[in-house]
Amino acid sequence: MRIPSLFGSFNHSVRSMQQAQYALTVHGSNIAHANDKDYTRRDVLPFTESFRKGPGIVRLRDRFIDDQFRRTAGKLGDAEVRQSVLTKVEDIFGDPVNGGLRSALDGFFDAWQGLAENPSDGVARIEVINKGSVFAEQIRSTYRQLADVEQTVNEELLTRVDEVNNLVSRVFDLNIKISNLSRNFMDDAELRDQRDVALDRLAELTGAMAMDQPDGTVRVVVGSTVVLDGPITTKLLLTNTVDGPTPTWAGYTTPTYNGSGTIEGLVTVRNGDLKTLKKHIDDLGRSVGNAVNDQHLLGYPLGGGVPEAFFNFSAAPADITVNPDITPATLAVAGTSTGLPSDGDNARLIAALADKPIIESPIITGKQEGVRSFYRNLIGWIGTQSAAATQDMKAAEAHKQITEGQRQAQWGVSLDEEVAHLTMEQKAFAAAARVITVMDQMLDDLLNAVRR
Amino acid sequence: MLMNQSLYDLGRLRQNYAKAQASVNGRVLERPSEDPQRVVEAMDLSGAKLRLERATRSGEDAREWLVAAESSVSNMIDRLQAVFEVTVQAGSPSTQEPESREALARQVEIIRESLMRELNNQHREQYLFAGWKTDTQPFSNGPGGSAAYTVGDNQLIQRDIAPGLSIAVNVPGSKLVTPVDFMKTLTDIAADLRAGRTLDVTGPRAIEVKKALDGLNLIRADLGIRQRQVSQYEEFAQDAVLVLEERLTDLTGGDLETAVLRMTEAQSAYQAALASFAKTLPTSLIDFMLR
Repeated sequence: MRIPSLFGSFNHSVRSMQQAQYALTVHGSNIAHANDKDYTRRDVLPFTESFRKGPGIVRLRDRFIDDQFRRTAGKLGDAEVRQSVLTKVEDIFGDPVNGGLRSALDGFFDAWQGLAENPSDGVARIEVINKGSVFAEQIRSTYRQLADVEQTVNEELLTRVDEVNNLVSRVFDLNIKISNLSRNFMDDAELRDQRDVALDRLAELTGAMAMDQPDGTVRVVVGSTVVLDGPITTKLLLTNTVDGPTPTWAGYTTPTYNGSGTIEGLVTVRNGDLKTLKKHIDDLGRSVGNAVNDQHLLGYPLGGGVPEAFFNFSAAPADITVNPDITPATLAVAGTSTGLPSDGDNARLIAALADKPIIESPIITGKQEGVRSFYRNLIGWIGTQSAAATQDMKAAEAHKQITEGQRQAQWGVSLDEEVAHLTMEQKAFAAAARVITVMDQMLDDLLNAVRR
Repeated sequence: MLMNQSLYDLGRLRQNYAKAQASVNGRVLERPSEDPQRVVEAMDLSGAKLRLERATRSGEDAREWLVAAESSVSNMIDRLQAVFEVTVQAGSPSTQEPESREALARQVEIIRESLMRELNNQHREQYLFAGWKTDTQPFSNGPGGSAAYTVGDNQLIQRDIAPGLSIAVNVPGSKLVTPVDFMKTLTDIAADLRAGRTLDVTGPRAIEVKKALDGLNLIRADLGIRQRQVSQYEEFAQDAVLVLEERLTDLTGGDLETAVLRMTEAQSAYQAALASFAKTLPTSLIDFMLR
């Protein structure tokens, strides 16, 4: 083995000091980002080749944990949005036992029962018309609010689609920059962190999965669609369909968007739960209205006369109003054409419609039931759907929490560790400096020996 | 990692505490999703309670009608009983004088007038014995002093005193004067007394009055039975409403003692977690090196 020269030893010590100094910088950076959950802890690679300008940096990231986290984020995005929308729907229906539409429905039929017992009482007649108006307004209002929620979902969809396209653009830009830096052996850790943040958000919105490529870029796939691959990106569009704006990938006709995440959640809840609920409310209004109208037309106003329809409908869904020609005098309370003062037979028959099977059950297809049972089953259905969505969300949240914990455990910054490294590198720096001092002393001794 | 997990757990405990507090305030079932089964059960109970309350109100109204009708029929019976006594009295030698017979005839006519008033009696401005034509006086004086039920109607006024059970609360006027038109009988009695036909008074007329009394007694008995039915269902409805209210309170309001206990437990758990979090807030190597 050749004995290195003093100057060679100097170089070793200098390199050692540089390594320690660089490591101090890296660990210092780690400490500075201790509370940054998007930061990936870095470590310093040792010098391996002489031509390298500096030591390399490695990000302590685990791709498997990342994939797990993104899958979970996708499920959470889907479950969260569904739970949020169904919570809004529950708010629309209000107090399930005493509130809103239930109270209006009961009040309407109760008013008819009251009128049946006092057919010639003017106050009872006004009450029936008022309660009819309240019921009609509740139907319209409930439908309108559901439509508003649907509109909010569509607007949210538009915002999220824009966000997805922006994120894909961002990842594309970062891919280019990372590829350039990586090729020149320069520090690209910060940019990779930024790209991972964008990919995490993309996963939450679409369930996107990222695959590392050899050149430092990533390929992004959503469902079965390659969204980003090298220079090629695919834009997410919203196409108008009968269900409303529907996400599709530009240039694709089939399949349509089949990712998961928030976007899928928004589409599913709009085309599924909301659409079903709107239809049920429309059915409720029309069934009650048509049944009451049919029976009303079989009765007679007091004193005789020709009956008219109690409710009016338009072609628009759930657009039900009390016929403006219905007055206390024209209510078809009586069962016989003479319309005698205490003849409330027709009013009794209308009151009995509350429990007559006139509407299809919201739960069991094809089964006819009374409107009270229908509403009760509808609330039960909303409750179970919302409870299931909440359960799904809690499960996804818990799962995400666990994977987030794993991420933090793997590449989160531990102050203890970093301070220990700092101390080590500080000592290493001091030791290398000491070596230089000794080498300097030895050189002095040598020069003095030569000088004499 | 430790911090994140602790914060997540604190959030969860806070939610539990808030929920327990809401139940103490009586808000157990605010949303269907909290417990769909209980919500639906509460809706069923609430609906049943509503129907029972409506039936109770109908029962009260039915009872008023029946009491009013029974009272009128009882008055008619009392008056006819007095007429019967007159028919018996007509056979006594002390009432053979024209003046005595005239007095008796006058008495019968006065009773007849009061009976006409009873036949046209009202309850809350509605004629009791007019069927459905409750806004029109049903009886007037007909030919030969009979009771002309000309504008009355034979329909029954129904009241739903229980879910699925209705009861008639009136008596059509025609039934009161069938098979014996006692108004005509009274007119005939007065005429017979004045004409001195006391044998007719004590014979066939008395029998007619007796038959009319029997008929009215049957009607009164029927009204009594209906009243009893109404009372029975009223009692049942009142008991059922109490049971339903209790069950409904359990479902929607919950037991206060249990709610307070749960809230206390949740509060204790939350405070313990806060204390533990504060104690285990990570002390790092830096803290030790700086000492």
